Amino acid sequence: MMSSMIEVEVTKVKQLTDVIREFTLSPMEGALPGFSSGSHIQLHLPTSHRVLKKAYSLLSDPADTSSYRIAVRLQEHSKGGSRFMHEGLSEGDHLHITPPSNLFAPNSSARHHLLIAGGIGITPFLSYLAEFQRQSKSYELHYAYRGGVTDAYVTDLRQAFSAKLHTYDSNLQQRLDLDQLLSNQSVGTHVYVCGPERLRHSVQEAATKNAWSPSRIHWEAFSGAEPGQAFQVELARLNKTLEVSADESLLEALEASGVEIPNLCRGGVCGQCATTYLEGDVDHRDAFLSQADQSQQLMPCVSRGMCGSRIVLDL
Amino acid sequence: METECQNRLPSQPIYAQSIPQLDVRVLISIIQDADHPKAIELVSMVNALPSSRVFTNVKWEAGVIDPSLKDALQKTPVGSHLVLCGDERFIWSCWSVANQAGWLNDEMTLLKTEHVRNLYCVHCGQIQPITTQAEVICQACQVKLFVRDHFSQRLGAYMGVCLDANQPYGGDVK
Repeated sequence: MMSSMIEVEVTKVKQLTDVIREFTLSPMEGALPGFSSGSHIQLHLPTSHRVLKKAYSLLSDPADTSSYRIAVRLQEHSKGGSRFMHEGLSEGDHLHITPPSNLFAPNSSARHHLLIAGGIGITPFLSYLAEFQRQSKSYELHYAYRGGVTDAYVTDLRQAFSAKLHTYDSNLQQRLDLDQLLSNQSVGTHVYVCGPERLRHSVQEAATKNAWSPSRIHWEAFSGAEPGQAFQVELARLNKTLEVSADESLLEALEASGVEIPNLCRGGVCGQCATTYLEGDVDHRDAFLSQADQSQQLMPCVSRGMCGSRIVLDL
Repeated sequence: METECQNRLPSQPIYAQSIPQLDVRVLISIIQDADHPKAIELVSMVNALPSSRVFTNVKWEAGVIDPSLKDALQKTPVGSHLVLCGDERFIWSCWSVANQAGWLNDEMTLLKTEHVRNLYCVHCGQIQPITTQAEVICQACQVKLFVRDHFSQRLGAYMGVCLDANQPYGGDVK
């Protein structure tokens, strides 16, 4: 069942850098639902031609449910979501959001938390830090960014958490040596990565090199679906055919035609939207289904039919 | 890895049938009885590895392990592997210490030597050692127990439940 939506008001918009904006979302009345560190919400954005659904990490303190805060980086190749957030949303506007869900919670049995953030990937960790401080957890934060562009929050972090903070500004050629970092951790450490794909790959590469168990590595893909080529989809049971354009995801196309599919992350990681397909050449882009599962299922939030092809879904 | 039984409950422990070939940073082996054939085979294999530490004839009681070993388990770098070699009581006693130190299941190989295991009575909470028997009388409450395959990692014990619903109390066992 789809979660019920919550109406909120944008009560504060703060430009943090040239490309990063922070939004405070307040309830129309009372308090918002509680959440745990690492949670995200989906925003439904009424852009000019369609309602876009975008997932953003909550960066505020989980103890504070009087409002939620999120931060959005303007993406150069925005499909409309980040551009709408930067150019179409002002204080006083109303939005619909989903209640928070969590796909990136800290491991409760870890003895040390090693957080690695790249740019806007800092957001989920901001909600971790408040909780870690309260619970006196052992942690360290490694934050890589481009100074003046993606270094939102670095000043606040330096003030509040200087002893645990390590920063790397690419403008100053400061590099994070992941191999060295991961080779020096004792059993009980879990690593968390949030940032660009290449950062996650580098962490996974260094972890593999140092024989880390995959169960110690946690990551969040904060990027949404990448565009692709147009293709056709047939819904076998509904006896319907849809055209999916190059700049929309299969999930968006299904939703636009009135087919609701349960979903949480819209980024290929949670597995909620996995749908059985009957035939077709699928470009699997998720990080959830096993290879065996991918022969029968696809995740419409990110995966697509191959260019110009036709896929048949069991819907 | 080969397993002992294909039709097992999800909670039932998996013991290695052979010693796996491992490409890890540090290999720690904790051995209950150095004279057991499996232990001898393990030691001869791990001694050939560059970063191997072997603890033999380890002193232990339920959940209480030699403090120096506990310290070693906490300071090991991530990327290491642990082999626990002994009977099931020994293995799960060590597992509990390793788990608290932060070791994960996929970083441990469990090499069972003897059929000595713990049974937890769900009626009174008593934990007692048993071997392969399927029916046991609880040492504490005297209820006749059926030994289930269901296993608790936290308790390091199999589950014992009342065998005969018509005889739910101990003391009147014929």
